[in-house]
Amino acid sequence: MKKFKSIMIIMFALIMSSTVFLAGCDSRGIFEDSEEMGKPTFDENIEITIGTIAQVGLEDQLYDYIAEKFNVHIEYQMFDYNMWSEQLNGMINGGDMIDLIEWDMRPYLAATYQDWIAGEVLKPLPTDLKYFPNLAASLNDIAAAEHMKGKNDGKLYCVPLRHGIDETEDGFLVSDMHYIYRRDWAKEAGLYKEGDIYTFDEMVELLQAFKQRGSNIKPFADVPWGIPSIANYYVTEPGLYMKDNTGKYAWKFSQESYMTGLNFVKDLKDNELYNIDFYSDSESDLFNDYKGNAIGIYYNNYTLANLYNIREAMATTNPSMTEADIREATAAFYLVDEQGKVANDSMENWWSVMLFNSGMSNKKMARILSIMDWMLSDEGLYTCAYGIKDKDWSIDNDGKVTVLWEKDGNGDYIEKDLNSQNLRWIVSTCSDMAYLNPLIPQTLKDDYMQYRNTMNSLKEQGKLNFLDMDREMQWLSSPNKDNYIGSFRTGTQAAITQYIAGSTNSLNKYYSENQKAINKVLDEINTALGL
Amino acid sequence: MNDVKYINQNINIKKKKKLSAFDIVLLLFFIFISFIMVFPFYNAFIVSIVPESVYVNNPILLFPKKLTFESYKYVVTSNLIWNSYGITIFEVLLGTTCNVLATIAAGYVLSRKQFFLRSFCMNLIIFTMFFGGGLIPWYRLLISLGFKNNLAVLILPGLVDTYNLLLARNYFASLPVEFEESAKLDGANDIVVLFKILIPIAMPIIATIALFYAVGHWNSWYTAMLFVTDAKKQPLALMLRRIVIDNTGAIGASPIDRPIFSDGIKMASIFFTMTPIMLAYPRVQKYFVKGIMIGAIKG
Amino acid sequence: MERTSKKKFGQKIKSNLYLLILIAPTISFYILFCIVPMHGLVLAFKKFMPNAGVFGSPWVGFDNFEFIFQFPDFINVFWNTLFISLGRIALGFWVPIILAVLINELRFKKFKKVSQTFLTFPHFLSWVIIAGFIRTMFSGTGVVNNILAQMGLSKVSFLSDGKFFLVLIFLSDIWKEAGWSSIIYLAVITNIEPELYEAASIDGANRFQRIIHITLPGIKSMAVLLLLLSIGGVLSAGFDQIYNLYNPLVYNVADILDTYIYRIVFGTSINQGVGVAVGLFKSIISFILLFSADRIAKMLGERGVF
Repeated sequence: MKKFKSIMIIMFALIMSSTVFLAGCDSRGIFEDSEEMGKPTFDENIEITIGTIAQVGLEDQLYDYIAEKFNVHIEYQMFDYNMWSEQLNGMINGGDMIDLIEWDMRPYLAATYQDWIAGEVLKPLPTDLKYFPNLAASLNDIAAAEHMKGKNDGKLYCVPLRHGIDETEDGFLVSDMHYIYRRDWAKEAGLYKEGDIYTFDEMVELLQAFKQRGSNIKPFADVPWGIPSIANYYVTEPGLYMKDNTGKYAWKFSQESYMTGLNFVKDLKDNELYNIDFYSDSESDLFNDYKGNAIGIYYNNYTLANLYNIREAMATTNPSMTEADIREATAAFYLVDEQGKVANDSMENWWSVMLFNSGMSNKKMARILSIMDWMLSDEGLYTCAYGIKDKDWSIDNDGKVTVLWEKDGNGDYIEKDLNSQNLRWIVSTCSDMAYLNPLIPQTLKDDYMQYRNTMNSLKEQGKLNFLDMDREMQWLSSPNKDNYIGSFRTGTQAAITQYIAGSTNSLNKYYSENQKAINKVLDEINTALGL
Repeated sequence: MNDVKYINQNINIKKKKKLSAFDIVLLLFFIFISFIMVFPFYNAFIVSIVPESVYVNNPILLFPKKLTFESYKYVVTSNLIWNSYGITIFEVLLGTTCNVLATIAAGYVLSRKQFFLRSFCMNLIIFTMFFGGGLIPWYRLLISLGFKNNLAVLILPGLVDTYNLLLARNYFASLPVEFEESAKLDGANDIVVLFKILIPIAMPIIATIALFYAVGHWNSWYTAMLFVTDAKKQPLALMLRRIVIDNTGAIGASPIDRPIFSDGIKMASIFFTMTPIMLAYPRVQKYFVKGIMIGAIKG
Repeated sequence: MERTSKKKFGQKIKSNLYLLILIAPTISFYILFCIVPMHGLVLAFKKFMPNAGVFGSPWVGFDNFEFIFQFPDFINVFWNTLFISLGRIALGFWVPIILAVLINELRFKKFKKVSQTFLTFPHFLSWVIIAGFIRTMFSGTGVVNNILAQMGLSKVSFLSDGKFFLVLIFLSDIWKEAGWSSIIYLAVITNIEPELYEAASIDGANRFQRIIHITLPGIKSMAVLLLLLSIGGVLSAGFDQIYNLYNPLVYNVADILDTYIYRIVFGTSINQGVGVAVGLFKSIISFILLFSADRIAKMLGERGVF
């Protein structure tokens, strides 16, 4: 025993001595800067390290142009999308943050964000953005930016990335989450409806016809995080909490309206019209299934990128299909309820944010902000989309842009090396840039715009069940709400999956097991909002 | 005067002229086992050499009619791949050498009953098997030691694997003490005993440990993911992960990717990584057979 | 008195000098990379703030532990972890031994080498790949169900049925690792002196008797060591494998500590201290388990780990 004791003492001493070692290199402070915050200067060459999830190469003419124009040297690091959170948290918690990083910020992460601000990890933007008018205008358009300000000083500690194509007043866009379907199969079954508009009954009929096509067919499939999409027709808000008929916030999964939607999905499953592997398929499994002609109606992001990817993939997988065939196989599907309304989940005009390392000098921040400002300008957009001005593109006095790329024998544009164009990802998720891409067929762009125009006009006519979120509620940070959000999200998703698979008691059981915590959260919400 | 007796051991020298029924049954059993082991690999290999259109309709395919090398081409023409290959080979050679030296030396020392710090060291090591401060302090420590983008991070933080160390210790402890004793009588110190006398006898365990470490290095990506952000210094396993997982082309969040046959490329990259090991392993096998043993016969 | 103990200590160092030199690199490694970071264990009782570091972060007492233990699923998850781990050990422990013994008995030299190589193949695949393969085989639209459908039988949901799922977990684990683990046993078996076998066959022992009385005892101490080590790791029931294969319909039997915590902590505002708290909890329980198992082994006359 004496030996054991001496071992313990020695180890304890070792651990304590390491404190001396690490205390020195453990805490950091903010960079004390004499230079005025905000005014950009370009005399000195600055190195900037950037990390995002976009793929960026820095060996093309575009990067050279940017580096010269702003007198910078950029080091880029790509985050592995599947390990984004680990890598980012590792960086921040490890005290090893680079200059500028992208973070998948969500309203329910507000507490972490404020913790980082209080812990002096992040650097705020200057309050006066007079030197960066485009950036200021963009931030103005983002209604949610109000909630991204530091609790104590009201300064903005991040730059949210612009998302989407359309303009909006309240910061909400019609979401890209939508149904894509096999119009060709519908026509073969004689069940095609004009304009791709189907009622619930017509859709069920269609699904039954699809089912006849083979035993490996999945007539209706939701992307995993979108299960159950049909519920959107019956609820008013996204998330876990919804206002009930007393006007107070309540648990969504106890509401009759939600259960109606969920039961519809369960019925589909019972009738073998729903994806039989819905509980285990991943997004790439479903992607493979769709291009392998095994899915009839599929709920996923109907973005330009996704549409391009699925069409290219189908062309490769099905060499016998023509371009027209593929368009028929990837059409937008409009489901209307009894009031003739289409549901849409809504999305905001921003997605993820860029964070600035607090150890950065004001000079460096100003330089970065000027790059961001330029990228948000028209010239920046066109340069990143096409290349060097007056060499790869030109603009006339009326603002009309002409692409000057070389064409091949078929009249198609030859691909250019523009791998650094995704540097623009630091201000935008580049849907606008994707839309300008000369390599994407015009038919695809037209199909995509037709979707957006249709949905936007439906919204104007009041024919859209539009789930915009209550920002006050979503961004509210209170002890129980923050603590339980993770377990509630995963727990309810599991219970929903079990419900659809046949365990009809799963949601009730989850509610009764977590009732105390749920009620605490609802109290916090209703009190804070004065309901 | 010591007589030195050489014993060339090869178990298979025992030649029996007649094969018993047991031998036949055993053979059939192993043919069956081999089939179970190999079938998924055969399938994976097929996936790596068929075009996507064929795969989509028959994921489990035995005899494909159309073949293509597109998937391998995609992996092989990625210009960072060959650079990573070099980094990994460097890591495997230098790393395994360091690993084996440190592990064998420590295993030997821990097996010697006369070592006065023996139980102290053992307890220290076992303790670390269970208790750890977690990722944060370890990460901060390595950063402050300067391991960011430094290739030493591929070797030093994983210098000794406790599991392998215990194997070595137990192996040395099971060797008869006569070897050490007679060598010491001749005036050899511990280092000489270890290197000149015991290592030839211990080849099986050394080969085993070397194999374990080498394969570990070949497949390792986690440490590199955290500390090596410079793409030119990243090892093979990490680079392949990037290619396979980041380029599936179906995630809506990132901008337009080139749509690729992700499953084919996954399989191609697996074979690309595995083939050197599969080729090297049979050569390592001969070390598992007892090597030349030098024994001393007293008097 | 002092002088003699100092002198004794000095003498000890001198007589063990070479041993100390040999073990120095390893011990430095353990101290620097394993002991020093242990100061992070205090984070289990703190709320971690990045810029304040480990020491500047504020204390929160047992809040982190309370937070985890309050979830009603926690007990179930804990038992799942034990059940799956012990099942793995019970089923998978003796397979490498049997394989090693059988390979050793194989007469056909060339085939011996070949099958040894094949047996080790699956070890090199990651669970991401294997899980993908299993899902292709056993999903609702997979090969096995297609065959069943063609035979006129009804489809079986292998991946959503708890019992089938656990069987898949155990079998795939054996498939992946048994061959690789048998390498160790083979190395030990080759170390057994052939004279023992010769002497035994002269005495009239047949093949089975030789296996039972010579081969098996020869690997006994290695087997005990590996068994003890796997008991020590019993609370880590294989995150990679479970995470890549499981789905919400089998959470009740397949959810282990690591996957459960991963789901809760992932994408939330929970501070890092909670993760460290769970790690500390696992460490303490594993340590107790290994200590007990080691005691039992020593009582039975085996070498043990400590």
